[in-house]
This record gives sequence, structure tokens and C-alpha cells, in this order.
Amino acid sequence: MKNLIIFDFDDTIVDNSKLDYMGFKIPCQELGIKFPSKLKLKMYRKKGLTAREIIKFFSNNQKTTMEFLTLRKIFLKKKSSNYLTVKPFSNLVFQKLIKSNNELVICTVNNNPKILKNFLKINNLNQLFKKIFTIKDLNIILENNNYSNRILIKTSLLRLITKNSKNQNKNFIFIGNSLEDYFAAKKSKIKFIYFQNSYLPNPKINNLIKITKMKQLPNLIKGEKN
Amino acid sequence: MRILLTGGTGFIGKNLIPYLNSKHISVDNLSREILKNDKKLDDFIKLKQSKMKQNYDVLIHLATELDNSSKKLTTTNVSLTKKLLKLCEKNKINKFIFASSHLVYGKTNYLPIDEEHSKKPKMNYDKSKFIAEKICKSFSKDSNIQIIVLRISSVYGFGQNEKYVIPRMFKNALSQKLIVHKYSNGFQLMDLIHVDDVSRGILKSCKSKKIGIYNLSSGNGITSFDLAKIISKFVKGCKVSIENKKEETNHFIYDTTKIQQEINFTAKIKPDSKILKPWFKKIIELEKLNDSRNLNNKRKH
Repeated sequence: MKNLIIFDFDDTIVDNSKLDYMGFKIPCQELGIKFPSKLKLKMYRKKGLTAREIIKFFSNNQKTTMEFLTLRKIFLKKKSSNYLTVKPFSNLVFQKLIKSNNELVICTVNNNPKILKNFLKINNLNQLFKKIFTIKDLNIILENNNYSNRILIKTSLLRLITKNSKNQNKNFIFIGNSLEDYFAAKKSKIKFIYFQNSYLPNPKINNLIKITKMKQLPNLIKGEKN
Repeated sequence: MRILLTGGTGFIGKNLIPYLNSKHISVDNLSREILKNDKKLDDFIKLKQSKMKQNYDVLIHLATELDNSSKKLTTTNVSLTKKLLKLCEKNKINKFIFASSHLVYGKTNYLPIDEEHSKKPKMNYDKSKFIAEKICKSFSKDSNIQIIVLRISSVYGFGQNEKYVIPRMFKNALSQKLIVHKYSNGFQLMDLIHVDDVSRGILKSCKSKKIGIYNLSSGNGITSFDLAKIISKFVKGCKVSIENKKEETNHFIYDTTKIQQEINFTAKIKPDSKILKPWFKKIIELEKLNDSRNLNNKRKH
């Protein structure tokens, strides 16, 4: 049976840490307020804090917080592709997976498919993924900055992917880096592999199948097949 | 085609009867309000079970008890469904359309919600509809009656009670208090279907040779905020205010692929200003009429 391997995008295929840091630095410099160091930001993110919660450590003023969030949103939209990098060995791993009769797709709550496609093209990944599933494929307008909405979007996308391949006798595996991904996979009854090399808090779930490096994935999937 | 109908005096029923008549379909309404001697629909069925004079092709069961706290919920929504199915069996009515509710799904796991989505009804009303669906399913297996269950989403249209979202927004807009709740997961995303589309969907189901469970909805989502923005434009100076809520809301949009493919039904009407503005104007006219009546009554006294 062929595997359809579904990858989460942010912080699974790409390293978002630089973009996240610049998303604090640039707007904060513009507003003349302090911003977290790279190390401190990683610590905050590991605790699961949102940008809104983090900036409150540096500015008590609600107006400034709102201005920061607007500037950050603009910055992330315009400059995303400049600061995103592919995680180490990803390209090789993807090629290896395809060679061993797996199909790869991306499933993300990111609502800007143009940026994604551009990023994949720049990094020679565009030929490796059969399709990118984003919120646009669902044809719904739902805010993606809320935890339960993100689970809902991801579950809906996973449902769409499995429904599209219903009669193709495929085995679905979802690779993600967050609790949201875990819950979306669970609700969709899809096998889940947790990528721990992450910027986000580690979920406290027993019996979670984990990888810490992308390199470990082909063997793990081969093992699953056998 | 001759149709026997329950719930003809309800919101959907009131719109369905003239629609069916306009298509030259004869409808007999089995509603509790037209029964003499204060007989309940239930008793009426007992009387009718052995001696129905007319032959009917379809029974459409719309009658429902809405009050969640009511003891009559199980009687009306569950027992009545069973009795009506038996009535169909005895009188050789070969088709049964049951108006169920989208509320049988409970909390949304994914969007759009298809008929296979998990069913976790929350309130008594939702549960009673779900049990009634199960009764339909078992009858479908054991009898020759062709049963269609329609899970109808949130219906809107002129004549609707003020407790529903659009008439409530109209009322609030008129008093310049158009407040929309923003939940922790945003504005509620809803799938609204116009009552005329519901009538069309029911007629298509009557004519269809298919059986099964179908979502009867528009398949399109609209947020409460977008709806309020449309309505706010009908009143000069009316602005939409947002009230933040700490709790989460349940978003719902339904997958209409099955009803499109098997029953050939697609909703045509959208809740835009073209539909809502004339309805809003009618409400203002009615209010003016009521005001002048009240004034006349006061003068008489």
C-alpha cells in the first residue's frame, strides 16, 4: 500500500525561528520599544506564549500592543520568504521518501499559498510535493490565530485529503510539530508522527511516535510499512 | 402527487404549503391547530390509523416540539415519528420525509460537515431528533417505505420568529443596538438556508427515488459579523458594535455534495441585501401598522 505522507509546513518543513524573531525586532524598532533576545523568544515560545502575550512583557500600553500586532502582521505578510529556511536534510529526506513509493503533500493553516509556493520553488521543493492544502481549499473564512480554529482547519484539511484519496487504497501519515496537529490527526483517525525539533512546547502525551531530526523519518516510515 | 403533511402551521410548513400548491400538488395538513375538540395530533393519528379516506403518496413530517425543557419533546419528536411511520405502513404511503436538524451533529470536528460526521447531540431537542432519525433508519430497513431524512440547517425568511438570528438583528438595528458577539474563536460562522430553498429541497426529495440522510443547507458560510454589516446599512447611522465573549462558539457549514448529486438540489438564495432589505422593509411597515392600530385603540378607550 502506498503511503500518503502529509507534512505540516511551519516549523516542520521550514525553520520559522528567524522570521519570528525579525517579526519582533523590526516592528519594535519602528515603535521604539524593547524586544526579546533570540534566546528569550525561544523560551517564551517553548512555554506556548503568543506574540500578543510576549509583547506585553515589553509594553504595557494597549495602543502600542495593537500597533505592534498590526506592524508584525504586515511584516510577516511581506517579508516571510526572506527569512524562512528549510530544515536541515529535508530535501534529501523528501527525495528518499518519494523513491520508496511514498507521496508527499503539505497541509497548513497558513492562508497565503503564494508565499508557500514561492518558498518551495526557491528551495527546489516544488516538484516533490503533489499538492499544498491551505485554508483556501476549504473555501471558508476562519481566523487562523486561534487554537481551536487551527485544530478545526487542520482536521478539515486532513478530511479533505483523505476524502480525495478515498478509493486509492492509501495509508495516511501526518507529520506535525504541535498539539494542534496531534488532535487534528486523532480526530481524522490518521497516524501521527511528532517532529520534536521544534520551537513550540512539547505535548505531554504518552505513546507519541516522535522524531527529533528529519533524517529519522524514512527509517521510521519503512519500519511502519514492515 | 398527493401529500400529507405534519407541522403545516410552523415556519417551514407555512411556506411549503403555498409552494407545493403553486406546483399543483395537493397537500392535506395534519396540524394540531386545525384539529377540532382540542384533540392532539397523536390522538388524531390513532383515530385515522384504520380509516384514512384519501390515498397519499408522501408524508412530510415537519411537526416538532422546540422547547428543550418541555416534557412533550420525546412525545412529539420521537413517538410521533414512530406513529406516523406506522400510519404510512398501514395506509401504504410509500414515501416518508422526515425534517431532522443539523443540531444532531453537535460539536463540529471538521468543515464542511458531511453526513458521515460524528453525531453528538447536546440538548434534548437535538437528541430527540437524533433518536427519531434512528427510528426512521430502522423502518427503512424493515419496511417498504422509502425514507428520506433531511438535516436542515439554520432556516431564515420572512415571518420568522424574533428569537432567530436575522429577525433579532433587524430588531436591534432599528433600536441602534446592533451588537455582535466575538467569541474566543472569532465570529460565528453559520450556514443559513432560505425557507424557499428548503421548500424546493423538500419537493425534490418527494420526487426523488433515492433514500437516505441528507444535509439540506446552502453549503456556504457567513459570519455573524458579515451578516450584521449587511443589516446595519439598512438603518441610517447604525453601527455594528462588537461584544467580546470569553467562551468559544461552534462554527458550522455543511457539505451539500450528497444532496446535489443524489437529489439534484442546490440552494439558490443567499442572505445578501437583495433578500434581506425587502424583508426588513416589510417589518418596518408591519411595525408602523401595529403602532397606528395601537394608537387607534387608545383613542377609542
